[in-house]
Amino acid sequence: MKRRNLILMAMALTGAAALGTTAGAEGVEDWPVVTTAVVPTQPVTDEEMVETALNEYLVSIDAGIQMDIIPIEFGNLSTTMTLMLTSPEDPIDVFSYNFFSKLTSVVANEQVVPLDEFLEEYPDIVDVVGEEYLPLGQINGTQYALPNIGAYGQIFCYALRSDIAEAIGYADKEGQLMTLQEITEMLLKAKEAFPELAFITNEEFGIMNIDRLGDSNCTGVLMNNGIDNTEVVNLYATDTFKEFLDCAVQWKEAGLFLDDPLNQPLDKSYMKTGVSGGSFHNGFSVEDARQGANVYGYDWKIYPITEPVATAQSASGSGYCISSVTRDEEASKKALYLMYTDENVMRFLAQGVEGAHYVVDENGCSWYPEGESMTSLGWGTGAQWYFPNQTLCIPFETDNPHYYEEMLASNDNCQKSKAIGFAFDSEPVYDEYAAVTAVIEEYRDALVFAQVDVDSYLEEFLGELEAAGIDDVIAEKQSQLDAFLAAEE
Amino acid sequence: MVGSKKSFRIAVNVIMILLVLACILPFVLLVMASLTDEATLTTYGYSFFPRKISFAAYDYLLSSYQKILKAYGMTFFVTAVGTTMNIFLTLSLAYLLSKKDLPGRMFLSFFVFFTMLFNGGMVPSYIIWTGVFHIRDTVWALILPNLLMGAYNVILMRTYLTTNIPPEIIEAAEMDSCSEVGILFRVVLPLSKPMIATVGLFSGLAYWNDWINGLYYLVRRTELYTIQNVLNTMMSNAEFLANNTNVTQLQSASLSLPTSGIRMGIAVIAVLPVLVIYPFFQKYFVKGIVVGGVKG
Amino acid sequence: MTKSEKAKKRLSLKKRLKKYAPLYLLALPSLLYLVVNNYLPMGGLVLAFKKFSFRKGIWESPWNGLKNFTFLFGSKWAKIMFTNTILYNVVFLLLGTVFAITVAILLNEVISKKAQQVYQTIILIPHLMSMVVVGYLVFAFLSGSNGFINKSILEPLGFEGVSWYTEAGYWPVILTIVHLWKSFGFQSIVYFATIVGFDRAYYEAAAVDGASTWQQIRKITLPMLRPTVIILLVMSLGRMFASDFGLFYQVPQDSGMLYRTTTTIDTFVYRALMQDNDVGRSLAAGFLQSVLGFAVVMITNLIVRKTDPDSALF
Repeated sequence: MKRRNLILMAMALTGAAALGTTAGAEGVEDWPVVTTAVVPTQPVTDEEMVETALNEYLVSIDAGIQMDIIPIEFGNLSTTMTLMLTSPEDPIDVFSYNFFSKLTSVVANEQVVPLDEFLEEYPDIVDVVGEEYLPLGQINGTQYALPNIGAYGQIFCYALRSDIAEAIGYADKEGQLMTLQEITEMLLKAKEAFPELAFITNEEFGIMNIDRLGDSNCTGVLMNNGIDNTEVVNLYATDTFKEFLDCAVQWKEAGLFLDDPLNQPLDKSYMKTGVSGGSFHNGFSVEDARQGANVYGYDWKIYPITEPVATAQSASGSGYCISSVTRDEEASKKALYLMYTDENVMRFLAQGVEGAHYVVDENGCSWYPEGESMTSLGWGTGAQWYFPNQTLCIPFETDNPHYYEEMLASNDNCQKSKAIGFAFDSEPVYDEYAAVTAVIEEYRDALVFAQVDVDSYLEEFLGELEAAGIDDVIAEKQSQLDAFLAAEE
Repeated sequence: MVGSKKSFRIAVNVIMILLVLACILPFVLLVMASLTDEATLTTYGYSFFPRKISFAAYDYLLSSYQKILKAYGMTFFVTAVGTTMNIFLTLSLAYLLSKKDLPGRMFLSFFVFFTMLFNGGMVPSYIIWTGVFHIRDTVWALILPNLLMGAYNVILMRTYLTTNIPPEIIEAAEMDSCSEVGILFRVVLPLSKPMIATVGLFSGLAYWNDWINGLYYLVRRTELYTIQNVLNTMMSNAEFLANNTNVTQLQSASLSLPTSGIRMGIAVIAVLPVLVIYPFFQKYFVKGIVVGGVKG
Repeated sequence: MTKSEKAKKRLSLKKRLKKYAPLYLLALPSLLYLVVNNYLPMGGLVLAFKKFSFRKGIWESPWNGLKNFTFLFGSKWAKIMFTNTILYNVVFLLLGTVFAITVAILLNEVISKKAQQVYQTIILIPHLMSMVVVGYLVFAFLSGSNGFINKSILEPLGFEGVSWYTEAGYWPVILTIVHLWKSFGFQSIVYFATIVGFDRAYYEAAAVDGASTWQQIRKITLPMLRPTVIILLVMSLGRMFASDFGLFYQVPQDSGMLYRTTTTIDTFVYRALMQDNDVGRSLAAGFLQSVLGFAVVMITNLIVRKTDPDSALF
């Protein structure tokens, strides 16, 4: 152990980091190996290259750990993670619950270890995450996860193709806050000018200015984004929802939806194929939203419907934890720490190896290497948001080198829901919750796409919700939220 | 008499042709869909005569042809080895159970059937196969779990042996002082060709179509993936991305979502080889096994 | 036949054990495989009564009583999903068997070898397609705006298009057709293999006696198929409370307005547990389905053993 450190120190002094693999290899064998997953959207072939580069780097900084990266494709994520989290022989040590579970579930299933000690050992992590956003990884006051650092606040907006916006005279209104009714008027004009296009191809509840409290079924939400109130209400019984449905009926009558909206995959990809002339969209600022839309090809104009606001919904969803079957908790902590604080570690994971998987221009922005694209690359490079601290990465496919600084600034400046960090645990009302979920899935889409007589169907829907026990769910959620708020103070 | 026979034959063929059309037309539609331009598909839906043809789906699949060829190779290997073992295991157990005076026959039949009903779910199997047998990330992971022998095939085979093999033949063989094992291989095996072909077919299809084992047990060595694993992963990536578009950050990832044309193309290339191989099984489905002479 | 059986019965247990010893030995690997692959993991069924903790593992996780089961019975869905599951299974079983046997017999009557092979191959195609793909195909036929049935059949005939995906009433028929379409080729191969394996001597003798094809089918083929049919039916009864998830989830595209007729136990469980990774609850649902199916099989098997011992499952 000592000898290795001496060698490493000598190496560091001479700056011979590249020699690290050959010289340090002997002692390094004793270092614990920490496994973590990356989630590419297609098979990746350069796992070994990236792993070697990362581990060479870890040797050069005398990290005391080595890392083993396991690429798991999105579609396999849920199964593979569940299995690996049961197996002490070959566990996954540091992982994100994003896309396969949620914080309340991984805690309830005892899949993760508490991180309170970790925060004591590595106190500077608090500043990295930001103290006010630390509760995003807490359950009942105990830290179980570190939230992914990203844009916690969002605006919801409508992205309309520039040529259409110009044709109907809306080009100069870009960036102005509009109500849903004003958006509707704009879309009706657009449809008149471009009758062959669809204009509503996705479902976005954020436009109703609500904090969904991390529950996509919206069984109990805070109105007005939870900025000024903490009363959990039944969204479907509110006037806001009714007004939304009024718009939906107009959309339906004007033919703004895709054909068969209930049976088509609803996403923004229609922006790319030219089937739709626009879509509900989001971003942490108008510029960010526009840039996000431009990735779909065409140029887009952005019409915000909500102010930038961080809600329990928009801020939660992803975080990193240490598995409860980890072989070496101390090593896992070290790895977690490095993933949040060391830009090289982050870049190897999220971007790969410079030159092979991305190139940096004189501006300080990164791009695909010449002639490469997402599908041809051997490493998933465009999903920095999946990783613990994307702000350590080099902004990708953008001309804006200050992208991440702006993102962090938006977190400080946006309005905030009082419920940030609250996570609902459905366990005490599990049976009612399952029943309510089934009712929502039965009725909601047909209503939202106005495929039925909205008035009578809404009434039936509300009756069924009540019969299934939505009041119990809301009451439970309210009492959990009250307890959460009391503990916050 | 002859006339009515002839019209019966015609009727049989007409019905069969109608059934065959019902089976093949949707498949043709699938092929056409895989050749249809993406925007056309969204706007006009599927059609036997697409307005705009596009080979984009197959270009996309061809771009990773090496991987696909390799996965085909794995599939062939796994299917061949697995099916051979499966037939042996199924036949030996089914033959034992087909003996009507076998001590413990009822218990053993129950023992076999019980496994069709109850299972402990994926977590315990995973723990046993990985913790005790260490098959993770080996080729055995694709062969051993679940597919090697199933109660359904055993019982199917047992039923065939008890109903289709006349006991007289076996008795005659016994009198010629053949051993029980000898009877199995020399007498029963040749008489059971159609059912062996059926069990082989079922088992072969199960191996061919399996992606569960690869998903569970191949984590680090995905180069061992079979064709169904490769295709299924593409499919489930696409499904996953399509179902998670409300997740705000997915915007850039969703760009690589395989189009529906690609998904159709995937389905086509998964089915085609089976259609090529299946006729090899068919030669065992020949009529005219005349046991004869035993009973008149 | 009866004579020879009696002769065998006369052998003592010891003699029979000795006689079959080599066969036991031969079957030993198969039996061991069942132990490893099926019986050992069944220990995991205790999780149906536990709150599974990934940290503590299967044995150390705390007991949970019947709490994992209650979510199944908490709402109006309990009745809907149990009735749907059972009714669909009964219909599938009856129609499926009749259909498969009919096709097997027809196939057997096709004289041209080439034609027989072509038919046999093609009717297998539906079985080879995944339910996701079948879901797309069904949509191609039934889509409200672009579907074949509306665009190419109903509208040219002057009828108004039907909105298939919003009317729950059509779906029992649609799902039955899809199920039969997908499974008949596969099922009929079992019967076909059994039929071609019959001793040709019976048919030859019947032909000499001047029996028509129809008479041969009725008097020889069907009676000889009986044990196979019974065994296959009894086996399927074990899955009486289970359903093909893909058929009921992918094919109706999880369309909410169709839930009344498309919800089965499996789709309900999937929707309820989708977000939770709750190992205990999903095992509990499966366990309940197995126990009920088991009970049905035991009762039926008992009846079969009384009336037709040779066809009994065990």
